[in-house]
Amino acid sequence: MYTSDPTEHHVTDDAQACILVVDDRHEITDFISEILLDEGYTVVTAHDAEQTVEIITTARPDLLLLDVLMPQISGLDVLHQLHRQYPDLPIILMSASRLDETLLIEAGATAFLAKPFDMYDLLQLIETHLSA
Amino acid sequence: MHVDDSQRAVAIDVAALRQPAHANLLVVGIGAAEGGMDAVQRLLHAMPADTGLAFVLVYDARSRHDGALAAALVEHTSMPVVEVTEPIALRPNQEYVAAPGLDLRVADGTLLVHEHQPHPQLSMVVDWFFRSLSEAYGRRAIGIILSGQTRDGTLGAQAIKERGGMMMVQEPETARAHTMPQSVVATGFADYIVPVEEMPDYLQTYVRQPYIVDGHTATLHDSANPTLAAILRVLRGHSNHDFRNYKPSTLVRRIQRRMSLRSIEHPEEYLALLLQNEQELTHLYYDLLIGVTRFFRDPEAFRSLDDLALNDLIAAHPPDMPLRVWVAGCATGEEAYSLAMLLFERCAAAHKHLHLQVFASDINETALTFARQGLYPENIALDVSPRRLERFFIRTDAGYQVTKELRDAVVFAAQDLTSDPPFSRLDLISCRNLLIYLTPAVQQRVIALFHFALNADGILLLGNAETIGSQSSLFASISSKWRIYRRLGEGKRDVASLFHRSGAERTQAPDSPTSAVAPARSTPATLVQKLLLEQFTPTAVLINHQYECLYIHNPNPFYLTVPGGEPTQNLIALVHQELRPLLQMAVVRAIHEQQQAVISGHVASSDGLRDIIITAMPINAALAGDAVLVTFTTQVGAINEAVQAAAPPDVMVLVHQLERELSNTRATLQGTIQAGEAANEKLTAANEEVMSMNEEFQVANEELETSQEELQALNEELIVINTQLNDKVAELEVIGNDLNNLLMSTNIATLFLDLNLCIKRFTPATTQLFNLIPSDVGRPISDIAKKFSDGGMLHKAQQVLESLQPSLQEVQVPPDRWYLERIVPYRTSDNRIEGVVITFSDMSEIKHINQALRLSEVRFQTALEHAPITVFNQNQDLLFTWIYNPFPGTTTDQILGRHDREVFIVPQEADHLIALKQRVLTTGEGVHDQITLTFDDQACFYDITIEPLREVDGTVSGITAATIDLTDLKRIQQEVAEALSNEQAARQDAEKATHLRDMFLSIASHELKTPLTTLLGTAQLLQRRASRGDIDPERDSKTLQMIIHQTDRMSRLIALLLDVSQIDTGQLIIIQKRVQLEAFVRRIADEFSASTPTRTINLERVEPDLVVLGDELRLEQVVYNLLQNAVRYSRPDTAIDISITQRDIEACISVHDFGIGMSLEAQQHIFERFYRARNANKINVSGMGIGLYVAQEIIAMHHGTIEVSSEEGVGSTFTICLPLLLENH
Repeated sequence: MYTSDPTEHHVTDDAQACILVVDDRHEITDFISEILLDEGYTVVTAHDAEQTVEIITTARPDLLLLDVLMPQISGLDVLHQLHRQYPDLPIILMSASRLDETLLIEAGATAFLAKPFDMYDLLQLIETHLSA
Repeated sequence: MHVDDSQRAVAIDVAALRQPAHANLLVVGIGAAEGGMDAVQRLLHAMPADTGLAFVLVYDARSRHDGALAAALVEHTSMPVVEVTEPIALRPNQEYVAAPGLDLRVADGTLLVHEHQPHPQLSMVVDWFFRSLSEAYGRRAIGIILSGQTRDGTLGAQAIKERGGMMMVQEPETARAHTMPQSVVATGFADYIVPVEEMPDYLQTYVRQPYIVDGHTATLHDSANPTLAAILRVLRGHSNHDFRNYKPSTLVRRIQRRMSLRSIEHPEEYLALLLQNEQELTHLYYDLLIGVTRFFRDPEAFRSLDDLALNDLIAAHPPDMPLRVWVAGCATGEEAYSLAMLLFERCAAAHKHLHLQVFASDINETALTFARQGLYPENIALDVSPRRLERFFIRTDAGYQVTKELRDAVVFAAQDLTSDPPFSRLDLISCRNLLIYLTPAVQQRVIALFHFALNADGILLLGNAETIGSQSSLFASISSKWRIYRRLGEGKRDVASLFHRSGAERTQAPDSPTSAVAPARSTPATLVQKLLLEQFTPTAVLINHQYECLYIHNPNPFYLTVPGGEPTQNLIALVHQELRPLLQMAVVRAIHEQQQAVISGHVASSDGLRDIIITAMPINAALAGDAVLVTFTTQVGAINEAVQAAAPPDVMVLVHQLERELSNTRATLQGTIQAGEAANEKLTAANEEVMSMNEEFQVANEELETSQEELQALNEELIVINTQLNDKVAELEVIGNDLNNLLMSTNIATLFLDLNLCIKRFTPATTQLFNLIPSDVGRPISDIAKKFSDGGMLHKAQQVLESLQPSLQEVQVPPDRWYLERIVPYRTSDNRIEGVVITFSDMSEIKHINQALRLSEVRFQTALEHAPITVFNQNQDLLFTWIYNPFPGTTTDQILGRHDREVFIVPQEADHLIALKQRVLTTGEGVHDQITLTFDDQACFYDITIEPLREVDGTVSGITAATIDLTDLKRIQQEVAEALSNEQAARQDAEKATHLRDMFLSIASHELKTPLTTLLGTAQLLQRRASRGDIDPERDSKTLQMIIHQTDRMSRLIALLLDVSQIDTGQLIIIQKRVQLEAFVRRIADEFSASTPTRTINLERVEPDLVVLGDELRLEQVVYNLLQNAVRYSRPDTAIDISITQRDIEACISVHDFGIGMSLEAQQHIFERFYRARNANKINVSGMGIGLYVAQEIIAMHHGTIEVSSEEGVGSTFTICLPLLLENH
């Protein structure tokens, strides 16, 4: 667990928020975890659907950062299932593919982030949806 | 305007018409039909307005211009024209016409109207009117017949003439349609035959005659009139017919009528005319004879005869005897034919076949000629029922012709009832309306004659006004109203008595009615007569001029003794010797002076001198010939007184005187004797002459007898020949009928021409080509208008006559009828040429069909000629009978008559075809199939349709088939199909390629973006930490290591993509060097283990010293790829085995994992570009699907192979085989 930098004004009340990061690539989950930990969030990672469901049930994250794997539609299926089960859980989708954002929002996504993304954009999105 | 005129005329006259009828009015009936309007107008135009006659125009309804008739006449006559719409009285100087739709009759001075009832075939308005006119007006009726095409009016004219009226007929030559006037003229009923313009003059002259005006018979009123007697004598001289037997009243009426027609008032003038003018004599003769009759005249009489007499007569008649009927005074034959028809019908009804003989007699030869023709005008339909017309008449253009059957039953003969011998053994006699013309005495004789002529119970039919008179003992009445009688008595009268007496009656007025001769019977009166005759009459001898005794009455031995010697009849020999001179003197004087001669003489006898008186009386009796009746008487007392009175006183003087007297007497006697001797000599000479003549006659007689025998033999022969001829005639008649029917039924126009090309005969169909009418027979054909362009028919006919070669040509009757004209010589049975026969067969249908056929044929030929279609027929044995467009490489000649096996070389093809055709032949149902036939080693495809060919009765007689060559079509179809499939494959390939490329791009983008994301994120993390002064060397080094790793990964991905690009563009270059495989593999394994420390790499089997030629970098890339795959698709806890083996001349490197494996389908495609196995995706292992593709390409460039063997869930083995480098070489 990392403590948040006191200079960062926005890492105050939300520092204890737990974020689940899901990507099949370890290198991706690794660096996102580092960034989020630096910001004072609690981070858990998962690399497949099974893991994801299990962690959500146990860890009860406040926000889900989910990679949609293309060309498989499984990512979408997972999204759909999760949204039905946890309608209040904000889900930010990430993808290297260019996808129809409308479709994703309908499926239950809260926001979409195209890979490669700017770190500040990521943090801004997380902050926005956690406070919402 | 016209209508107004006629209406005004009607209006004026209707008022006047209520007046009573005029007495003694003469009414002129004018009959006209087609073409008659002009004649009527001209007639009325020429007719003065004040003739005093009433004119009634009867215009045949067929040609009537409805409503305009009266109007059409108004302009042409100064008389008022009355259109009759209701009964009105006739008045003089008026012209009457019927209103449209009405027919006229006249009765009692009144015109009656009847609704016109058109008869489908007949016009008879004129006949009807004339008949009513004649009945109403008798001799004051005048008929005028004008132009018309029918024979209407003929029967009416007959009626008018019968009642003494006058008939005037338009000269047929001047009439537009001459049939109507011609028909009346032909019957001989026309009194005047003149042009229309002359009619008024004749008419006016005629009606001015006193007899016509008031029936005044000026001077001829009884038979005693010498002029009448003279006229009858002249007639007898002319015609040998004695009209004194006729009633004078009839004779006078008819003579007066003739006189009126001739405008003669005094009988003497007329007598003078008769003596000069034979024609008038003939007219008078026929007018006197006029016997007008009609078919079934007095139908009631016929019905009564039928009902009351005929059935019994026929039933009782012996079947083998002819039924004999005599119609006396038959005139123009109608009565005879009527009776014959009735008898035919009765016989048929009674189912009794009797031979019917009707003898019809008349003295009028003209009438008989007409009767013998048996041709009557159409209007006899008024009197003859349609059924009888149908049964007994044949309708011809000229009228109704009696059938042969009817005609044969009736024999017409000229016979004078009053003088000629009658027919005999008759069953029925009809003598109607003849007796009324005869004097009562002659009537009685004729009745007796009929009694003689009839068989027992024979039937006699007399006219309405005739009776059997006082001779009721001869006939019993069957119907007194209709004068039907049955003969009474069995025996026959002595016919001679009828006729010898009749001879006397011809010259003397009859003194008493004839009575039957009573048979001689012995009554007291006759006894007394006989005794008185014997006692008081003198001896009388009837001798002929040769003194031969014919009869001796009361012979007295004093006068007559029989001398010795040969018996003699000579009175001179028989008479007393002293009486002989006296007898001779008396006889000679009587013969000489033709009067009674009385000679007296003295004969000494035993009782003194007897004074004998001999009387000779010449007798010229037909019975006795020239005879002399000689009587002998004695006057005893008278002698003495005479002697005493004459005796002188002086005896001597007396003696001298006596002696002188004696001497004188002797001298006289001597002279007489000499005269007698001279006469005797003459007589002897004459006798000798007679004897010799007699001899000659005897010889002649013998000759005649011989001749007669010969004649009899000849007659027998003739009878035989006649029988044969009769048979032949019957046969010919049948043939004639057959031929006629044939000619009629074939509807072939046929024309028979004689040598001069004049028409001999033609069939009805000929009128389609020529304007022919029946009367054209005999005219040259060149005079007849043709309806077709000639084409030199006459010339051809002439040629045929010369060459005897038939001629044929087609002729066209515009617009579109075609005939085949055939001219052949007319050959008689004895092979003479008597003309030509021209037939015209109607071939329009054929011509049209031919044209249509030819057109159709041309159409089909043109269509088929350039089409790959073959049509053919085969018979039941499948031999070709017809073919169109023969198969390629064959000709029609090669195919016709051949069998399928001979035409189609390949046996299987022929068999298939034969099977198809046999099926059609057996089932009778068509088939449709596609077959292959080989011609000239080239297989051709055909579509074939086979249908059965059927006979008229439906049996299958063969097949008809059509084939269409589909070879080209099939080839093109195949090409198209191939092209299509190629194109589809290409498109599928292209689609697949596109799909793979899209996948690749997506994956490549994803694969490339992942390191980019990591690089960007990590770099930003470092930057942010650095800016915060948060530096941890160990931690940051690890982070930087990740950046390097990601960069390396990206560069490999890019290199791989570059390889693909190079492979695609052929720019991938292999630099081959010697590669020692064991060392090569061990190095890679070591390096891989170092970079992937979590996985165990086992070098299982290694064949040492295997060397290949290859690009080491590229081969390393391949093996590295295989190892990465093995790691990626297997669990981390499993090992990866590598082996190096030799297979023949190849060295193989295998990489084996215990991973997820792959399906067989995946194994087949695993080396294809962008392909990713399905289960590879499932486990979320990323990859672009180009690694194995590049590996395969690289190995292929090394002339090696790469293969995979795998099982899902077990593991996969990839093996690379490369050619061994054989270092010895």
